[in-house]
Amino acid sequence: MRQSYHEQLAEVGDGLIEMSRLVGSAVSKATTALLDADLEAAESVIAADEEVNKLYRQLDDEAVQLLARQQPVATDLRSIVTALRMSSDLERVGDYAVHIAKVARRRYPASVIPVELRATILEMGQAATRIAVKAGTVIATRDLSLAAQLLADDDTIDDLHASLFTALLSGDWDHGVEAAIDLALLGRYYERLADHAVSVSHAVTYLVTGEHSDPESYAE
Amino acid sequence: MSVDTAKRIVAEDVNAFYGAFRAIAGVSLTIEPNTVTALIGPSGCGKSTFLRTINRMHEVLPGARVEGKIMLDSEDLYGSGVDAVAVRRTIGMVFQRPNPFPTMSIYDNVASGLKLNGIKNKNVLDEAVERSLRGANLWNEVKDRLGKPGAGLSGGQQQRLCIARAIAVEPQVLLMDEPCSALDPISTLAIEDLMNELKKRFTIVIVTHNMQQAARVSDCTGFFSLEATGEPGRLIEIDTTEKIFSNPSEKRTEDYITGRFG
Amino acid sequence: MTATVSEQLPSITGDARRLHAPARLALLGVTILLSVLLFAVTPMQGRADFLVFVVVLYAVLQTAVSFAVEGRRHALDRLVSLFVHLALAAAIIPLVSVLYYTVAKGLRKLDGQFLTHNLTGLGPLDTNGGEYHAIIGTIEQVLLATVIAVPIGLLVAIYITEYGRGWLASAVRFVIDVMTGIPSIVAGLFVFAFWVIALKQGFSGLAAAFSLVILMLPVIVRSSEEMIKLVPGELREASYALGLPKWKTILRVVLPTASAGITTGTMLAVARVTGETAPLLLTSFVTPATNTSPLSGKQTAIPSFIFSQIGLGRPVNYERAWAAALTLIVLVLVLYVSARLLTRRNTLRR
Repeated sequence: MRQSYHEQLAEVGDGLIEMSRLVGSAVSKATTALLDADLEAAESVIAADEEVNKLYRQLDDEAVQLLARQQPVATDLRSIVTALRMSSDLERVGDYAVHIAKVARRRYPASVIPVELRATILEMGQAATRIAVKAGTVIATRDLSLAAQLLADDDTIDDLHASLFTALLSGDWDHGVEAAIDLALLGRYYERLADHAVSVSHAVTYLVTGEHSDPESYAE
Repeated sequence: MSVDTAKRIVAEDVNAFYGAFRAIAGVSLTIEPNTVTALIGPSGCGKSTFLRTINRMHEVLPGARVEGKIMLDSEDLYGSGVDAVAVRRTIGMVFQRPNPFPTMSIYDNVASGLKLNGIKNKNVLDEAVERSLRGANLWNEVKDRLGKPGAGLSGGQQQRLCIARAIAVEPQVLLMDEPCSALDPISTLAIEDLMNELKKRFTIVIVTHNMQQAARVSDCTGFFSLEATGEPGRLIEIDTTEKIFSNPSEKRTEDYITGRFG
Repeated sequence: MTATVSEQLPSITGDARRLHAPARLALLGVTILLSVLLFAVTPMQGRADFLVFVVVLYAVLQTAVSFAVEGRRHALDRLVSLFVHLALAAAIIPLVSVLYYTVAKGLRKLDGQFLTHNLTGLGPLDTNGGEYHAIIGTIEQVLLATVIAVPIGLLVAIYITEYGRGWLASAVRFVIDVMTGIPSIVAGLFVFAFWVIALKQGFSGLAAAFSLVILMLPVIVRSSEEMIKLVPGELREASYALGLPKWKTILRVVLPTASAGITTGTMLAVARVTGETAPLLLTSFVTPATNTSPLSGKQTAIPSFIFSQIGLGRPVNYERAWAAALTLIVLVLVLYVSARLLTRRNTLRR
């Protein structure tokens, strides 16, 4: 019954998963561009964001059409409302990946990251990529325990962000103001990107339970 | 039997009268083949009247007449020399309340359009009945009791029987006048799914006072309305359903679908 | 202050005391006893008077006792109920007694001999002979009348309901209504004057059939008209929408749907005219011989047979008349039953 409606709903879900895949790979590539001073990678991240934006607008239109025409209720209604939110969050994640790539491009051919902070940035990048991919999985599987894990990953990034600031504010920072600003901004980009992934986790929890409860309460 | 060929409908300045009273005025629209078009509007605005002008059923009522042109592809249905009975054979209609012929079995009901128009060959009839019942999603439910009376089915099944009867004669256009308003929600959804299937073979025009149904089921929606009681009904706006329900051009349309009037 | 509505209406729990059936039966017993006593003691007598007295006394006593025990509403209810039952008895008793009389008296003479012989070659005192010729006559005349009246009646009904517009249809309907009230002897007289005398056709079963047609036609037209009007307009619309012309719609959709009712109406008309006597006396008259041709010559039918026998006055004639009356009742009964069976077959089951 109502096959075309269910197909359209599924399309919205698939669109979100595709978006999360795209932004996940964007974050990973942007981190690589950063660490390896790879101009080509940076350019491709910036160009690929156009596709993310297109997908974002398309998902919005589809969701609005479904609301206008199909009178969804219960889980269907929540899935469309949360899809609108999540697409917005994922789009911001993509934008942050672009910001990271732009920093790499601006300082090319010099590397943005001082040697002693490479490990930190690498860890942040990997955690950020992991969190973006995990967000995609959470959307696909609606697994609440996974959603809870996401929050732990966010904590990791917050800690790394804090340690980054400690390094920047320590007395023996000798790489100059420009580098400090770049690294502060990079830290912020990663940290905000992870927050948006956490937002996705909250949305999925609401979708599944119908309540605005804390995902962490569903951790195994 | 030939493959169903859906047709384009073009109405030009159609006016319909009941005696001296003008019920609809100046209706012009185009309906593309293989689409579902829904006509919505408040009670008494002429949407059913317009529907009936398409298959020349309006003039069956004493004193009723139609002015204007209705083109089916390139033929004017109201042209001089056009036989109304022949028109009705090529345009099928399903009504608000299911009306299977009570003295006929299920088989005879579906075959009635063919049999009573002179087709006697049993093989041809058998094949047509099965094809139509499958097309109406009713075959599996009734294939073992084709000889039983048509009136013994549930409401939703009876309506699908009427749909099977209408499509058995392979019309090019299928008109549906509030086909689900006498049915329960599940039967309604079953018939809406059916419309989605049928539009691959026919052009479908449906009148409905259920806006949500129009939103779910149609590709294009036309909004009819009246200025005031006693005035003729007019077509206010017709566009893709997406546009009508998310951003209609006319304020009156928006007022109607948001429930602010009508 | 006026009481609220809920205070003025009888309470739900209210009067629980009722005058049940055994109590009423006992009351009836008391009434009968009293009546017997009174009739023994007073100058009142006669069975009919006794019955009336019992009924009136019971009515009074029941109302009084019910009023005391159950209250006003129930007392009134029981009184009205009593009247209704009395009316029912008043309607049924004559019917039952007619049936009983006819069966009792008719069975005496009704046997194989009676059914297979006519009255030829019999003297006034002969007790042989039978109604064979009358049975043939009735069957032929009624059949002929039906064959003529049903198509005409149906077509008129179809005209009135499906084709007629405006003054002509109303005029036809009016004329038919007037025809319903034509006395049967007038119908017979018309055929007598017009067909038998003026057209010099003489007495015949056909003439009788004509007079029966005049009597049957209005019944068939009116009942067919009602049945056709009962066919929902939606069915006609469905038929038109399939591209069927009007005449085919009427023939293949409307008439079949109305057929059950039309059949009943026709059977009722037939049953009505089977027993008509007056027109037969003026059109087919009476003859002792069997006449199997309805087209020429006098032909006896059962009603005219009964009439002519009664006129002769002897005991054997009365016996023959009763037997023929019983035959007639059985014939009409058979017609009614077959009508019900036919219509039940047409009623669709789930």
